[in-house]
Amino acid sequence: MKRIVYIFVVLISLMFLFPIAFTVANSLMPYGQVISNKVNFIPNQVNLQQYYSIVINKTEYFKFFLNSVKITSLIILGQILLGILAAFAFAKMKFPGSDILFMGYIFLLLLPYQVVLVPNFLFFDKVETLFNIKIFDTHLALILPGMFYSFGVFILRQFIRGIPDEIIEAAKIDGAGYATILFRIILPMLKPALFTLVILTFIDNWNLIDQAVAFIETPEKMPLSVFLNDIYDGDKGVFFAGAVLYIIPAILIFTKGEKYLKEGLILGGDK
Amino acid sequence: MFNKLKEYKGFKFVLPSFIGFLLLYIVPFFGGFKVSFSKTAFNKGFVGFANYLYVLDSSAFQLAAKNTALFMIIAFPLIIVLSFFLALCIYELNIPKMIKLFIVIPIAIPSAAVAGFFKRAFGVTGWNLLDSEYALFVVILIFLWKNTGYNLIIYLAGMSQINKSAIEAASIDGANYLEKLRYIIIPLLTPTTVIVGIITIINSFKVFKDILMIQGRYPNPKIYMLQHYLTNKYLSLKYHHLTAAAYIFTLVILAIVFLFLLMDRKYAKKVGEK
Repeated sequence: MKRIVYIFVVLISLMFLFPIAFTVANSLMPYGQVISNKVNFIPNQVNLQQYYSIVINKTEYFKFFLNSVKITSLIILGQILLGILAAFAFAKMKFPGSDILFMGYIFLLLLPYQVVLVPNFLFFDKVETLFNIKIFDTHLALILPGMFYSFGVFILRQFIRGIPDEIIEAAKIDGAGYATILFRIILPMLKPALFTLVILTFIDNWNLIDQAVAFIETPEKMPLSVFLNDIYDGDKGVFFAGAVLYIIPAILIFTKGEKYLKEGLILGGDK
Repeated sequence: MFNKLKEYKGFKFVLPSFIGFLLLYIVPFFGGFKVSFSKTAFNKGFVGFANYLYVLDSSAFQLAAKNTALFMIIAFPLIIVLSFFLALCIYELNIPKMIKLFIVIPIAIPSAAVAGFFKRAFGVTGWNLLDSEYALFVVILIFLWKNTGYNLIIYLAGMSQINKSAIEAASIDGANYLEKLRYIIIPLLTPTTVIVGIITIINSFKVFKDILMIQGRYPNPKIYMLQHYLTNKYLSLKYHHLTAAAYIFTLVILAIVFLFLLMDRKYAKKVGEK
């Protein structure tokens, strides 16, 4: 019985791997085989023609790649900085109304982006008319909502709650202020939660689509996701190599920090 | 007065994040009500609930709501059972890390990168499920593929915290595995399941990204979701309909969350009584 279940789980896991394996295999096929109407799983001949063609002929690919790098890294930075400060206060420096405010933060997480889009849009519109700053059709329209999304506050707060109060009390007796406690004592303990935050924020924003469809018009300003999708219809011959190059950073970051996810995602005990 | 200020010390730390939260989300969220009661976003004439009634009555909204609900009703229990089962197998059978990684890695794969695979696997002539009436099942499959790993990690984290002595005690009392599962493991994991449920709701809305990459803004009507409806209303500048629809959607989610919390409370009480 155990053996049957074991084999079953292994088979399922291979099915999970299949779409990725298919994409990699197709990226190594010669141009002609990929664009044929027949769906192929195994390359007739393994070569790097598609990759070569992206590097030589499709240099704009890397421009979109950089768009995505820029958007994603700025959002991660904001998530970390804003998240650490707010999460610490929500977990260890409660003030009147802090629990209700935090519930508002959590509720935001439950809304699909298409609902959140409405207040974002109204805010951008207001700022543009009041201060004459251009936000629509700029990366700011993607970065601002990403930075202030409450996910980082949520993940870090759950983790900080698990740190015993005695540690903070002891530091207070030694005369440390809250800022010192946060940056000297709490911050070094946050490694698993910070890794978790970076990985999940990276994954979410590396795959940024909805916001760009709503707020970006100029094709050159699109993130890689939208560009890659256009390639499939226009130049299928290099799509799969483009997809693999798009996947690589995500897999690298993910496998590097995956072991922290388990610790960083222990969100229980919140009653 | 000074004491009062001291109580708000923590607020200083929240302030930077709060400013953005307030300006980007809270204030305009309430500001949008005005738009939803206006004739159009550009003509501020008050029309009462006309926009809400229009949205509720439109066939596009009804189709989108039906598809979204159907997707949730099927996908939600399916992914919870699947991820629980896989987590249990991995936990009990010491399955190598590599196997777990295979199931978890789809989390990291951007939608646009695998859209090519899904288009080729389910949308070629002769085998075109994406344009057939079974398209929703393909979407559910994509959803399971992408999100099972997320839930698996959370379940494994929950299982690693189970106190083994309770299970051993049950074994000594002669309980078989199914009994242990039903009376000990599943009840102990209820808080984990609540978290998995919430995460599943959050992630289920993101399946829109995959549909958008595979079929664009006007997909097969079988997989036309509320997110399509809202995006298209936005892009066609129908802000009065957009806001009304967004508030209806929010209300429904609020109701679901409330139900969820109620169930959790009820369960906590039941355990408390025992």
